Amino acid sequence: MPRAAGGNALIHGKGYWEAQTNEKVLEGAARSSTRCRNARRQSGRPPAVILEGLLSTSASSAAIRIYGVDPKVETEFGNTARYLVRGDFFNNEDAPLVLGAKTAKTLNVDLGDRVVLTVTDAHGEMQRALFYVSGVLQAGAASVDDGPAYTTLAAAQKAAGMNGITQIGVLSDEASQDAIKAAVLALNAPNTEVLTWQEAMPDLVGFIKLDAAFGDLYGIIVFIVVVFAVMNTFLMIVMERIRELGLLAALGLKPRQIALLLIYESFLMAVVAIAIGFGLGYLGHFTLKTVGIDMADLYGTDVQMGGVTMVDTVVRSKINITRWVNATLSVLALVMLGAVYPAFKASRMNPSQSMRFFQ
Amino acid sequence: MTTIIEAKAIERTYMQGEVPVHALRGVDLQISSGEFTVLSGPSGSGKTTLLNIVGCIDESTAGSIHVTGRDVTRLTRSQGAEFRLDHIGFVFQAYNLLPVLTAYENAEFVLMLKGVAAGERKKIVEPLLERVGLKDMMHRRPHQLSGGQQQRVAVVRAIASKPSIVLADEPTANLDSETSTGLLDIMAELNNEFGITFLFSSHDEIVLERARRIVRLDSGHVVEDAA
Repeated sequence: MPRAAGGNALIHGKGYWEAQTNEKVLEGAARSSTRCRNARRQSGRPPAVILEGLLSTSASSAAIRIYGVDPKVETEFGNTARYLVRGDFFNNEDAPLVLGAKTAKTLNVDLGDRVVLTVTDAHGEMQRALFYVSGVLQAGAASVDDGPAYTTLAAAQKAAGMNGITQIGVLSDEASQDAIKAAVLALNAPNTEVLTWQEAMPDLVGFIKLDAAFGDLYGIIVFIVVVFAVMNTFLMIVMERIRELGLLAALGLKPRQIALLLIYESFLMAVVAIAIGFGLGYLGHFTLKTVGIDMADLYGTDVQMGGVTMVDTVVRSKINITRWVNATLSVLALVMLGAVYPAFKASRMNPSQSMRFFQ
Repeated sequence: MTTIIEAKAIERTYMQGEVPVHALRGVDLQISSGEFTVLSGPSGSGKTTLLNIVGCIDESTAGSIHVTGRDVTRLTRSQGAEFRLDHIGFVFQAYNLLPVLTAYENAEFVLMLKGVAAGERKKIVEPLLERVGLKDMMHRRPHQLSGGQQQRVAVVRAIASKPSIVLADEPTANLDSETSTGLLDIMAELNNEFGITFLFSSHDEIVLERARRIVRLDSGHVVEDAA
């Protein structure tokens, strides 16, 4: 999720996130960036210039968002280059532009062709800049094919007459993002805002919470079903073995021993079932972790969650040890709980009547 | 000889829906130690019910019963189980062997419940299985044995722990006459040799011929008691 937002912590010029205009420039970017590195929590995200503008050719024009980035770092961060179908990311041109296949088609351009970008600069003045198409991206999803274009940081700054940058996105672990925010805020830099990805994307956070709540609800329903299934299974086991249990009682097995026998059996069955479940679950996890599920393939278009278009559409499995342990203990406890009533019932049976059963 | 079973005015009433069914109506019975007695009578006469009450796997509605000198009229389920384990051996009409165990394991089962060590169990069970002609089949499971063989395993299981009494409910009902005769010969030998009291419920003539005492029941009453 943080990748989709642009990083765990987003550092902008004040008011940028709300207005998203080219005039909101981040001042003191170098100091912020250094503070993040000093905190040793930054795993990388290039300072970026983000421009909203209009790309034009003699044939057509298209509204576009352009990211001015350091290609080397951007490749590590977003891995956008994997969608390159033509050209490279970037060539040695002064003003290279990598754009989506659909945008290229709209503008009727291909590698080496010229396009003109019209943007409002940091002072609110209209500026025009010439770019050369150096690469074409295609993923089959609108977020890439008809999505933002990419150029070098220097070319974007030059086009918008900007000395600074628009955003630093810091990719870190979830636990560190508040510390990063605090470290940047401690600089007391004027006109700087720092947002965690949750603050930047409240709709996405709401969607995730809703999804988690439904997940929990689903889990509770599954657990209730498990309890009834286990109880039913053990009641059936008792019914099927009613004669045998009656015989054991007649031969001298005490009611407590009969109940313990059934509870012990249910414990063994639960342990075996959990072991098999672990095996199958891990196999499924391993497959999903290795191969993953490309949601773009499934939906045939963009994948949006909470109004956010996913950058990486491949969903991969991740093991949450706490959940696995909790689920295991819960299932074991539920199975044992489900076995208590049938065990109690079996221990109360009259041996003579039990042995007449089915006779 | 000492009295091993003493039943006084035993009544047993079942409810079938809201209709009371009187299985036993004031039965008095005394059995001495070492007897080879048959409870006889037509179906529904109360033979099995009386046998179950003596064996503490059913309770009388009224009356009292003493077995091996102990009042077992109102035992808790746990006390009943303990009493059966120590004093009673059962042979059932349908053999009632545990299907997942071998003949040997079935035969030693009661000894195992009593906590007898494996080596000791082997010393007791193997000669008994040999005695009833099943030494070569002791590792077979019940479904691999004939009805007569299964019933012989049940007899060994019943006597292996040297109980005071063996209760046999229609033990020959599912056997042919030749097998029945062989089985009864074995039981008679064990009765003579170990002094175990045998109480049968049966209307099989082969059983009645070997009985040293026949108690006839009809409609829940003792109608004849002949030695």
